[in-house]
Amino acid sequence: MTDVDVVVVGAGLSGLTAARALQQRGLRVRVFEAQDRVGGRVRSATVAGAVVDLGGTFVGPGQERILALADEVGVARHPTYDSGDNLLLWRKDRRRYRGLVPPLGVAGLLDLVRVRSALERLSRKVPVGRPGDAPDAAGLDARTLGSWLTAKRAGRGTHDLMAVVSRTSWGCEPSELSLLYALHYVAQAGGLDALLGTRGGAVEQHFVEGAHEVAVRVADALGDGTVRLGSPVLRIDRSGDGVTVSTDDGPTTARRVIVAVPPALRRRIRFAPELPSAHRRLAQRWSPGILSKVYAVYDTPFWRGDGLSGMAVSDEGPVFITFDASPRDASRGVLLGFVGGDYARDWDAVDAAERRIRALSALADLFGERALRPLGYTDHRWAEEDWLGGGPTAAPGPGASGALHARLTEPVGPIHWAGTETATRWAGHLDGAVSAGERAAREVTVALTLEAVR
Amino acid sequence: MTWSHHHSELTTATPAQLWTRWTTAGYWHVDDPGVEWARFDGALVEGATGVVKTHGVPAQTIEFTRVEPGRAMDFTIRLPLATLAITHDMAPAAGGTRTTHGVVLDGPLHRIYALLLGGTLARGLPTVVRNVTAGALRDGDA
Repeated sequence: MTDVDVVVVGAGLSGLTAARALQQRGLRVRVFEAQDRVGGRVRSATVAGAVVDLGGTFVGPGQERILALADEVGVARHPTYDSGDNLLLWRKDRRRYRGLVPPLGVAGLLDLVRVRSALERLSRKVPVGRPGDAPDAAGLDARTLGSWLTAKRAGRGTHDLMAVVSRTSWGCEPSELSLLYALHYVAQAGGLDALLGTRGGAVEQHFVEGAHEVAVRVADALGDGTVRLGSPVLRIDRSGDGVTVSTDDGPTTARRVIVAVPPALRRRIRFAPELPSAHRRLAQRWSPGILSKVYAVYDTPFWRGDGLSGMAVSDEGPVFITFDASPRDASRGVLLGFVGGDYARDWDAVDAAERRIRALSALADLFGERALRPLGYTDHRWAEEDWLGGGPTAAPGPGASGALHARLTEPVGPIHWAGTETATRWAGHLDGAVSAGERAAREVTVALTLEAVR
Repeated sequence: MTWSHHHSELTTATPAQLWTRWTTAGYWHVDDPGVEWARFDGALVEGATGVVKTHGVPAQTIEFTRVEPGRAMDFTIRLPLATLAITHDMAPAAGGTRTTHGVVLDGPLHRIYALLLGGTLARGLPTVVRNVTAGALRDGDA
């Protein structure tokens, strides 16, 4: 008799969802979380009276699993504000535009459409969930998104706009990311419009009480003592009849374990016997990107009075893309800004006062001097989180995607894997975290049922 | 007629910290990825000269045309039928210091040089400004 049926490592949305599904099937579950809070890459804060999401924020159509979970635990959503003009600060010129097509001039737009169409066409050849089966998968994996853009003779404007996409989606520069990984990511999201769009896309809505509230409510419903905070798992021993999961508080025996941490964090656990070499290489090479978030909270969403949506793209940084994240009743004006890739490497390294003034300076370049005087300000650097190491998701370099992708979910004896990167749809998003947790719970349930039958 | 491009940022670095960073030749290659090395010929005063070597380009003589301690520093590089000026300004703003770096091309062939060099010089400005402020803050911590 084991202490519990299943141990879940990691109390992010994925691990919590897995634990919830297992409990609902009558299994005894314990969740170990290294940090002193639940949520993993979702975390919320209140700044000058406004709830802000420091991590995963947005949801959109087609993301049924997170939407269903949020509905079940009673966390409401509201649309991301997108009325009015977007802004493009490009080559020192501040221009207004509507929709997803930036005002780059005829030649620039034609080049963008050409390159973007080529990327979408190529992505459609990558089978969702099986990027290694794409035609010339090894060749695609040997290149970076950046080298592909160069080979396509993408103009500088197109290259710079794709860098905005790369920093937002993966927290890295195009020159750092496996082309195959990028293509698969686009394919599994259903295309670039679905990935990037406000209306009808992945940033269409956000949660009234913050995405973290979903994790908190799921964790609370698991019952007292189920989630152990501040308990990093140090070691997992596996044997024929189960696992022993060790923390500072001692061992816990279980029939199965679900490891629901980012792939790179699997290395922080000592597995005995060792994981197969491909699993170890995956953990070594699927490091996370670097993406930080900035929130400036004002007494009112003043940009709306100028006919602006709050959505802006800049080629100057450190804040390179912004959204209006104000509460539904507009009782506060909230600008959300992203700092990612190379910008984040510089910006993350300076002290809090300097980060603040640089971020507000960038917002003022977009929205005027009033942006320099917020009621409240906060930022969050995910790369500084010891038990996460970055975000928003893994950003594997060349050669790390094709052959290793299959190892993301491949169980090793009684060890199963979850986490948003392991999802076959909306990986890297809140929805991917939830669906991956549900998939891992199904795997474990089937395995335990088969064991019982034998 | 001139062609010019400027980039400003706010920083918590003080004017004294920024001034030290601007006027120490040994920092120039650290703050500007395009610079291989730089040296000044004596004290930094208006009319003083120095030499800057940028990657892939022969070393060039520079002349300081504006030296206002704690406020501004410009130097120029003479090109055939044009002059390239690199400008630096700072002023108190929004509880910090607004620092502005610029490139200005002047002379009969300034449009040609703007086409050949302008984009590269302009794109590099934000990086240089941030490197200078980060270095100035590090100096201040030391």
